Amino acid sequence: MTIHPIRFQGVTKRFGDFEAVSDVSFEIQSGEVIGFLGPNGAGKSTSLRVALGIMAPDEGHTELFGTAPTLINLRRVGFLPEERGLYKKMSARNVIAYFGQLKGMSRSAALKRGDELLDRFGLSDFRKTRISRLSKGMAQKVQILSTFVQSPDLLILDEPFSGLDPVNQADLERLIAEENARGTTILFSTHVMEHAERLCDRLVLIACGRKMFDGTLKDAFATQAHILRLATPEAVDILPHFSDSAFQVRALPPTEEDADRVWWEITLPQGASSQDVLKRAIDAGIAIEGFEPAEPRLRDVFVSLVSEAEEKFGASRHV
Amino acid sequence: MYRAFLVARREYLAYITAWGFWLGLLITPFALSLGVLLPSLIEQTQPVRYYAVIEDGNAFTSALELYEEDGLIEDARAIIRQQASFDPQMQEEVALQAFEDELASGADVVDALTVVAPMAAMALPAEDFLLVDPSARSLDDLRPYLSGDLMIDGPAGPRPLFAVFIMTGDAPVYWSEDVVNDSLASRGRRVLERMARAETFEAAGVPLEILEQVRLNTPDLLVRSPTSVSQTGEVSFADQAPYFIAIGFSFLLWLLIFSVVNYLLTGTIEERSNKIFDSLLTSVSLPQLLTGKLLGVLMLSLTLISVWATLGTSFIILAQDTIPPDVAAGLSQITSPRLLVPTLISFLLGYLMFGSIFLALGSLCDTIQEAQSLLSPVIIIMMLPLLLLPVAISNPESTLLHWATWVPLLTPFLVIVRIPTEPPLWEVMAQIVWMFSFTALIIWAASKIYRAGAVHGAGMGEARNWFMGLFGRKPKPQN
Repeated sequence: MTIHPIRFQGVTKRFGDFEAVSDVSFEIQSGEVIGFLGPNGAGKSTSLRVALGIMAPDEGHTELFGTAPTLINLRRVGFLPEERGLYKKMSARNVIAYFGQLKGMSRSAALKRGDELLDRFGLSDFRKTRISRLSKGMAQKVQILSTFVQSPDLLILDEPFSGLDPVNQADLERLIAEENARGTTILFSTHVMEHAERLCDRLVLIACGRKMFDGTLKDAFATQAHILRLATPEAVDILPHFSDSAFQVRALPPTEEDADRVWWEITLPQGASSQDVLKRAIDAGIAIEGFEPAEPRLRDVFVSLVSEAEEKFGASRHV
Repeated sequence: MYRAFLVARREYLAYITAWGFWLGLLITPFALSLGVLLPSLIEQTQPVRYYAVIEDGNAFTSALELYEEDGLIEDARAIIRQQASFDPQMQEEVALQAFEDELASGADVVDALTVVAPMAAMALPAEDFLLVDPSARSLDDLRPYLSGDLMIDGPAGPRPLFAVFIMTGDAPVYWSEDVVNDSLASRGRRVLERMARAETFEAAGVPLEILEQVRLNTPDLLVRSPTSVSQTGEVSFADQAPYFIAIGFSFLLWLLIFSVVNYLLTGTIEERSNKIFDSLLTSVSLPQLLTGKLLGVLMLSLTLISVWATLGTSFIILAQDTIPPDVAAGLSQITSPRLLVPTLISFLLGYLMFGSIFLALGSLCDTIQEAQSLLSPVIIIMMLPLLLLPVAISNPESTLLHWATWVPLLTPFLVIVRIPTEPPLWEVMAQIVWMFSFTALIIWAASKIYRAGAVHGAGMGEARNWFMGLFGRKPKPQN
């Protein structure tokens, strides 16, 4: 039987009459990088807190490495909570070492590892600096490093990129990739789709407390209709030539670079291909000045699935 | 348990390395000593105050001067007795007789005392009121002096007139702007009583010498106790010491708990406001976290006790030559297991009780300001033992004290002060078991509140709603 680093089985969590998480089930394979996506208030942080045993589910159960979360299997997990904070009077290396010790490391090993991580993240000059004297970004980096200290088998990072500048975001992406290459399974929540697109093997999207999607990026794009773009001279109107079909056509707003052309966005119906569009345009005698398939965007998938969830379940979260 | 130890060590190191802790640690004994010495310091630094007497003749003035001299002689005798108790070369009877002989030869009190004990005159209380010659003979003329608008010349320079005795009317009257300080008026009352007694006896044909003879023939009432530590039953400081020590322990316990539980409150507020709980709770369990925090601050309080005990013992060792034997015998009872064991149990349980309450309150608050509104009722409860300590001093067997000892939050402080009254063993044991049970209940409730605050983010709003719910009020919706 496969042992999953994390497994959610029918998890429901309520706060009073508010259902924060509804019947969520999914699991993660070893070595995967999973993007845990969802809008604000979707139930991501609550799901993660349930997974870690910080709070108990009202229904269903979670597993970490095949058993219910306990301090024993939590030793294999590094967790970065959404709400950040450290002991402000402790030095950077001591705070990392403290969390390492709580995870079962010896003090000397935790200090050594803390120093290594600080070096790697360009913070070696601030080893003995109190957290209260570090900038907000630096303190956040120290907290991120404290989740890596015991070289965990599973990293759960709740909104790890929020509050970091682009340079540090890139550093963190690199660190996540390195840890994954070492064999660490990584689950991170975010609502910034670019990070998910760059890092994730698989995505789990929840909205209104419900799992709306679980699959690869390719699977995610497949949920969306195919779109392509067509450019014509300014005077041409293609709408009459597509009005009798299932194609949805709209003119895109003009841009300065293409002042003498019009770009059209054409959404293809199920089963149609880009050749069908080209054939119809040529048959209609339309002068084609540009043609490109639109790159699928995760943002569109996200917006579409979240809208669908809000439409279906938005009103029913209060039980 | 190792994780709880790690949490405890972090807590301990966080506070022990703070300069504020050491400042408080050193200031406390200093402030306590100042508190003990303050009444005497205030008395000694009291400025000399002038008073006047308006009378026909000088009967009251003479009686007043005689009364003051008698008082000074009594003070001098007390100083000689005290010095004799320290100085093995000084025989009390011989020294007192020498002092009386000096007085009889016409020496004044200070000179007579200096002959017997050269440095002892310094211990005589300074004159606090000086009789001055009034520059006016009527109250109306003296009013500006009494109100301080005009100064009167006297041995200590120009000063306002503190009081005036007017003996010329139908009844003697004492006038003063100070309506609080009654000592001079009391002195006047006692002098009038003396005068009245003398006049009455004289009118009845009893010579005044007989009165003096009565005073000399009145035997001292010897105070004895069957529980006295001495063979003869003589009551000394050694017999009273357990009461003072018990009250001292109780006060120190209160001071200690009040000093350290604040750390638990501020530490928990820091963890809540800095959002550290989630990081911690994936590494330690809630009971381990609570245990660690309580243990860390307990170690801090043990550090306080150790330093204070070291300072106190050093002081006693340095000052041992000047401590009278009965006081030394009394102080040796500090280590009596009869007092020490209940004190240690009370300290531990009292600390856990109040520590858990402060932890729970801290877990509900994001700022100290928020905590203050929740703390007010707890602080009022914590002040109650202090209010009851004067009762314990004046009447240790009072029924009020007896019943107050069973009030859970007061038990740790009051069970100690009742030990010297030798309550039945079953009662002390029952109170200790009661403390244990209540402490367990408090810890259980505090851990629930702590969980609500740390895990579920419950705050002031939830606390208010819960409190209103107790009175059947509908809770306000939370934003």
